[in-house]
Amino acid sequence: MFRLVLAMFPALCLALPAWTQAVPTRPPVLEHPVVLEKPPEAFVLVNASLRAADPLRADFVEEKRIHALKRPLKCSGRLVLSAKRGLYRATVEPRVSELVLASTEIAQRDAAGRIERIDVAKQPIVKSFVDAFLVVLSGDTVALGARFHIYFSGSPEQWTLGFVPRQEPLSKLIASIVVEGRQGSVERYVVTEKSGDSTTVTWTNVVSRSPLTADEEKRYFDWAK
Amino acid sequence: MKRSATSTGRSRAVALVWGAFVALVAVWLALLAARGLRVETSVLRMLPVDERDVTLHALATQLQGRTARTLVVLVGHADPEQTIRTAGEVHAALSTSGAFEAIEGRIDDARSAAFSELYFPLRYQMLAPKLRAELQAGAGPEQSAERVLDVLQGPLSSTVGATLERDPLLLHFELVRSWADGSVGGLTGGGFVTVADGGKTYALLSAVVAADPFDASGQRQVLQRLEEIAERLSARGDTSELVYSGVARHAADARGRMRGEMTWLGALSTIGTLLCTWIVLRSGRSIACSLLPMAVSILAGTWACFVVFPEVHVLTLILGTTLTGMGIDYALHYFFVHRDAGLDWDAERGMRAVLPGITVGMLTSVVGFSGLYFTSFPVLRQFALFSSVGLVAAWATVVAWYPPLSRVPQRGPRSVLFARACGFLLKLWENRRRRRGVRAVMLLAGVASVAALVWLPFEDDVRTLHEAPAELVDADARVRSIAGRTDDSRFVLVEGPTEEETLRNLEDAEARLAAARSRGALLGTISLSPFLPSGQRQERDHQLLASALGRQPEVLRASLDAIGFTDAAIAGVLAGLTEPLSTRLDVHAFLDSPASASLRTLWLGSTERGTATTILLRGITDGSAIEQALAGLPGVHYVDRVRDLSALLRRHRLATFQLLGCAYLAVLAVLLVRFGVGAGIRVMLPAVIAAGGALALLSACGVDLSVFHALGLLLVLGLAVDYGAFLAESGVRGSTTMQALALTTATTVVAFGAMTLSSAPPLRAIGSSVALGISLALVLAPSAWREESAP
Repeated sequence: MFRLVLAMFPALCLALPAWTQAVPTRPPVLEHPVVLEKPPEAFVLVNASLRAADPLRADFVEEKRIHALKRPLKCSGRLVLSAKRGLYRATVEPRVSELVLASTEIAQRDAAGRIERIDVAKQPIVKSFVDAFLVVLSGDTVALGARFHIYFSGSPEQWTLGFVPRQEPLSKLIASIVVEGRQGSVERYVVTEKSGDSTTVTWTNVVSRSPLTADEEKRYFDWAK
Repeated sequence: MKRSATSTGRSRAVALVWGAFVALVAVWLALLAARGLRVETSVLRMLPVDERDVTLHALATQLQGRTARTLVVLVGHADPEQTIRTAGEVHAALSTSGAFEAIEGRIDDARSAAFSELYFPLRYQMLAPKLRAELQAGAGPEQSAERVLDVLQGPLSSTVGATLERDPLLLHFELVRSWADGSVGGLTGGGFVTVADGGKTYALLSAVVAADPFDASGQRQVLQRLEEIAERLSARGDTSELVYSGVARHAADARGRMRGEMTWLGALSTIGTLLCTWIVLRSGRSIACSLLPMAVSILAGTWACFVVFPEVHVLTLILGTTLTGMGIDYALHYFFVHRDAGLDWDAERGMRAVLPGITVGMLTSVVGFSGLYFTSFPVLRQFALFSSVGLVAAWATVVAWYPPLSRVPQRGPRSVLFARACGFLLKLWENRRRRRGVRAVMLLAGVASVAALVWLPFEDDVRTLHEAPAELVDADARVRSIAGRTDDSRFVLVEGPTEEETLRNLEDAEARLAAARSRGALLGTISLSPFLPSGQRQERDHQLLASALGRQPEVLRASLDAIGFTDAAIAGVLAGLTEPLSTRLDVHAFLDSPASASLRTLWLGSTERGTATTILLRGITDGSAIEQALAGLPGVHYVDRVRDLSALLRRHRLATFQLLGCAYLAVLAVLLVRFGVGAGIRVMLPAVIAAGGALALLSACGVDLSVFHALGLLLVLGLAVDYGAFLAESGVRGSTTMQALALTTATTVVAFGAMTLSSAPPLRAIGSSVALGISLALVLAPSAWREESAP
């Protein structure tokens, strides 16, 4: 039976080296914790509008600051976020590629049509990233409260949500996630890692509440199956 | 009078000497027991060593020995967070229980750090298979830069940030990712490895049992701790599922059942034997005395086995106990003489009368059973020693202790009914034996019996020798299914004259298995190959990197600069690509690292032919395709334990039949010399018909015949030929001899018949073939009797 244990070993190897890095600066929204039993009215309204916005379509520009790189990595394209199907992201600049993130799978397709799939079940760290991303924009306060310490500032018109992971392995890697928006629309999404690296995604041309057609589902999501 | 006094004094001295010896044996056995008697319960341990390749057999046994000490524990719940919480509690409880040497399954920061320390420096000589293939296909610096960019802009970027500066090409990251592809579970919060199955998330833990898995107190402690943990969870309303499986659990179950069986089989056999004796002899004193040789023979047989063998199989103890219970036969001869002497009884004279008979009987039995010592079945060798020593001890007990214990003449009623029944059977044959038809039928039956022995179908599947309770079988299947569908009985052994050769052979075997996997023959493999490449592969990987990327330093520099890497990071890459290899990961460095803790057991160490390792196989769908794929590779052996052991059983069954044939021929030769052709054949025929008839009857009743039925026939031969010979010798004393034989048969049938109620298939096989064979032999034995023809 010891062989059953050996089978686990490769998975254990996912614990990649984690050398100490600089401590990131703390976003101001983290000074305003939310008590879920007594949430501010604005927080409730913002989450309700996020829930009602499904599905979302938007253009995005991503800027990734990695301490090992002397300049930020930038890319841009179009994204579709569906509570039912997950996230579809088509990068147009600097290189054409597509990505589908769902709670059970991740698939990437390059310009030549080559598809690479990641079995999320075998990579719980990756799964926690995906789930976190999908939950953060879901407006589901119960799921949010289970995974994150939640922070909120602003009003329903102009708001900032802050999230700090409660559990490992996400809490080991991510310092905070900050989402800024206006009414039911996301404008900026900032992930700050414990290492000090950060990713800022700016959303524009947001279209919400327009159900996906069968053709869109096929074009955006079905290839990833 | 003086002679009688001298004789009495001598017999008292003999009794004292034997008593002192028995006391010594008892103390010795008690001392051995105080240190712990190792009783083996595994069905595999009673089978012979595969004589075709002893090294391979030793390696397979070593692998199974390691397996035996591991208990796999799964903690499952529909809520993954609850799984992690409960797994944490179970892990802590197991760690502090004292019943386990190590608990694997939780990865702390120290283990992660050890892993990085071992492998990160080796990133320029250990390539992920996919990356190796891409570079071999001509990928250059631009493609490598694109791959890096894909990762940095993808969902895994957060996991590489910390190492990116020192590993801009993400070589280590790709290697780690390739390992994850072959894994069963994934690492989650709290450092546990989890697998999703049937709507639940299971955390996988493995516990290495501190004690020997076959040690009774160790087993109890292990299982008690697990039961306590399960009870604690359930008491506070935690609905988590706790499934565990391992050899220790099977061993504890087998030990429990066998201990129970030894008790009740022994009791049943003893009570039955004593009851038979009571019915015939009607003497309380005789009954009490008959317990002595049985007790001493069991004591001596057990002692001899534990002195000679480091561990004794439980089947030996049960079988030996049953057979040495037949030591009562010597007592019966003495009791019959005692009864028949009436008031003119002299104990020493009585003993002198039976001594030649029981001595010859004891010697022939011991010689017969000693033959089993030279078979290759470990359990039979132990049984041979147990029964030989036990029978000698029973004989010595009768000889040394009975005269002083039975000085008073015996009075009491005799069993008239029993005597009449025996007389009737004798007369029945006497009236019919002269008829030609009966002779012809006997001869035909003899020929048919030989044919039956040759042509009856036998079941050689080793799995039929072991029956585990459904609950344990289900737990095993569940654990196996959740934890990766690994196969305990099919694996690959890889050898080589040196460690380097072994690792190269391992890589060749893995390449063939990868091809078989792509054809659907299996789900995957677990071996050291991805974690411990050969020196040759490390050099080739380094050369491949250097030639594919290092030969165009300017292109590489420009590609990495375009991503944004610093000059220092790029310089580090160029140095790593161009500098010659200074160190290579070898077996010793790997085994010495804390990172290899969970994998060390795959390295089997030194053998007579060099070194060896193993490949474990997951989700086998086509074993023969795997074997075919590996055919022709040097030092690579596909092992199918069930198939190999079944083939081994078949070979030894055929060898047993040859032994049986030789034994019957030798006995026939002796009988022909002693009685002549006609009478010799008449004496032999009951034994042959009893053996063949017993097997034919069992087969007709739908019993799957096994090698153990064949072994039972060796016992039938030894006993049944005696019956014919005694009757052929008895002449006018035929009726008395028949009574003695009937009583002996009754005690034998009771002892072996009780074994048919055992839960162990080998015991049932031997018990049924001997009980049936001996009953048939008794019914047929009078065919050898001639009232007027005692030689």
